[in-house]
Amino acid sequence: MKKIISIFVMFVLVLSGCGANQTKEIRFSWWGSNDRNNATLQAIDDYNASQDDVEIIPEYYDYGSYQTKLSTQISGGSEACVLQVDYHWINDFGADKFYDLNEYSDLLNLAGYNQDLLNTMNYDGKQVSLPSGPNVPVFIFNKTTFDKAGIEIPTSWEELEAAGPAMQEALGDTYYPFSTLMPYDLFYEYTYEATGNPIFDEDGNFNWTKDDILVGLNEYQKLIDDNVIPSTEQAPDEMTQGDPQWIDGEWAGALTWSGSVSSWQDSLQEGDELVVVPTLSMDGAKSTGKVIKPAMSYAIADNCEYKDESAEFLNWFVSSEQSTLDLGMTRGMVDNPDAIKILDENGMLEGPAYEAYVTTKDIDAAPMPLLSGDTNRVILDGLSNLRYGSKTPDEVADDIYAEFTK
Amino acid sequence: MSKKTPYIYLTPWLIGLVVFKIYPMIETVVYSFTDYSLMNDPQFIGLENYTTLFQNPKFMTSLTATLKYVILTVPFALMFGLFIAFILNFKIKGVGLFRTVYYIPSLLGGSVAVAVLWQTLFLYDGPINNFLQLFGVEPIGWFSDPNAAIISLSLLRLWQFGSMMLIFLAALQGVPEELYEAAQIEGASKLYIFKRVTIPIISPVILFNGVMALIGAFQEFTAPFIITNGGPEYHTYFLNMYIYEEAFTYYNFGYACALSLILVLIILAVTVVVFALSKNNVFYSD
Repeated sequence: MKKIISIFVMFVLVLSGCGANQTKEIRFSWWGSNDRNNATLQAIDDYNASQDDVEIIPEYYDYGSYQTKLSTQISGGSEACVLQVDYHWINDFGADKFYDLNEYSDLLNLAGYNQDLLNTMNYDGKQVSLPSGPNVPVFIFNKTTFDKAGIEIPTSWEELEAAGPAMQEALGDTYYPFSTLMPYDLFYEYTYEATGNPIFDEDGNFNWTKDDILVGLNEYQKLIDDNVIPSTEQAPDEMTQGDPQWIDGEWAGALTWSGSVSSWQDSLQEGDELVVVPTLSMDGAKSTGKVIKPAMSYAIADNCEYKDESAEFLNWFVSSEQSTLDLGMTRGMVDNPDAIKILDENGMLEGPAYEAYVTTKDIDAAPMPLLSGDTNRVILDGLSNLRYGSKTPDEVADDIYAEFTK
Repeated sequence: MSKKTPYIYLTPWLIGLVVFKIYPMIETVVYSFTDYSLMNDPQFIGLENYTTLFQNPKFMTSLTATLKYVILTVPFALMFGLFIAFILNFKIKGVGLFRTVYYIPSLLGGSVAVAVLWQTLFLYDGPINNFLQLFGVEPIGWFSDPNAAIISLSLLRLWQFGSMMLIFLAALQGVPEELYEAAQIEGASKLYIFKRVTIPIISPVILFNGVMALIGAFQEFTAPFIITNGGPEYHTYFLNMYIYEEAFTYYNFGYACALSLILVLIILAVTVVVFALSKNNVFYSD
């Protein structure tokens, strides 16, 4: 009996000793490709090494599975303290799930940010998250493949259309000057550029006529018919960075977000050159066709136990010299003024991501419109119908118009 | 040992059954009558999810795709599994090695890794098309042609026939030899013996494998999710994919629960029909 009591007392003493020096574990979750993940892990290691009582625990996934994981975590209240979130997720998750970063306005130097970009993540006065930097759709082309085909990099929609037959004639029918990445955004950019009408007006009402929709669909059909976009046999689905046809240069172009240009460059064969074309021109364009959103943003969960420590980590992550040097441009162009200065002083403002930023920073871009699941789906399904030849542009336009006006 | 002892030993399993099976099933039924987006509290809406479901063309598209897959896969899986088991029941040299080799695909299972491998094999310029081209066959759009897409998924399920084959093999080895001897003495042909002796004797096992294959086929998810993503144009958009997308992409959790319940009822109905048909076709030794 005495033995049991003494063991119990020792056990309690050990436990209380542990509690006295308990490290504050703060989980940080994000999505990314290999270059971003490795850079972020390095930054986290550096931060942890500098802290006595705080430890950042990393959790990272690819984009698709991250959203699913995060939604179930948030619904169950088990999300990480510091979260990387996408622009439209706040609508899905609810602004009440995130802490108001205005409480850390001075620490995070919110006044130093691009206020238009900051306001994209402000819901009724609550700063829900901190945008990392701007994201604008840009065109990327594998110059090595274009050079092989003897074709100039397209700078207009007309040149892109002509590049389809020219590339196949030069290199064979497995080569295409473009790919199936971001079909909705491609369709939207053309339609907005040609008509000058965003999909929603300032009051959030659907703003397109059926003729507006047909403008974009007819162009998409032309890209299919002219072999600009790969056939359904070769590309049944949307392209990914892991597709061998992209890596090998057979699919030689795409529309992608400016913040992810670095990772697309990294996925090419060594020696292949990627060029960024900010926009494709067209005769009679009514607008630039461009939209803008934060590349990603960082939030603190409302139920986070260590909000102060999380904010300090967040501030270090987005503005410290060590973190900026670790991360470079792997998270796209940053918006934090301190980080920009550090990158500039260290000659790191270079590469495809910076090029994408420089060429788009002065472009007139509208805030990216937010679509519901059903409306987004009907456009994607319609573009798929065109690729598979199961519907005409007119029929798809009817479907889209009906969904948005029901 | 007291009378309570067995129940004490059963308790961990019972707790697991209640917590991980029964409670979630009850919750699913309850949520199916609510508008629940995962992020907010569920709101009771009665039968609205069910009326929406039956009016949604996507449900019929998904159900049609699932039924096509079931009809294509289950009979061929049974026939193929039984055929291989029959061959492996012969007393030939090295049969043990062959039994092991044919079982290996089942060990690999329907995992994500296998699905990614399958997707690579059936690419337009992948090994399967390259092999077929040796025989003058034009490349097939395995993932772009609606019929080919279902076939490519069915082939993956058929490839994993090992478990079914083993169960058939055990059943075949349980058929009394004297029945075969008696039939041979009476002058029955091999085909007649197979139809009139072997099949009736192993009919309970055929029923078991058939029901398990049916349930598995109705619940298929990994292969269409990884390989075809429900395409082309929803031709492989099986019910489980529809449920997953509604729950975790569109956050229509209540609607997804209603879909889950409908899937359970469909599987139940099909199983009941199969058991009803088995009364005159399955022969038990007792």
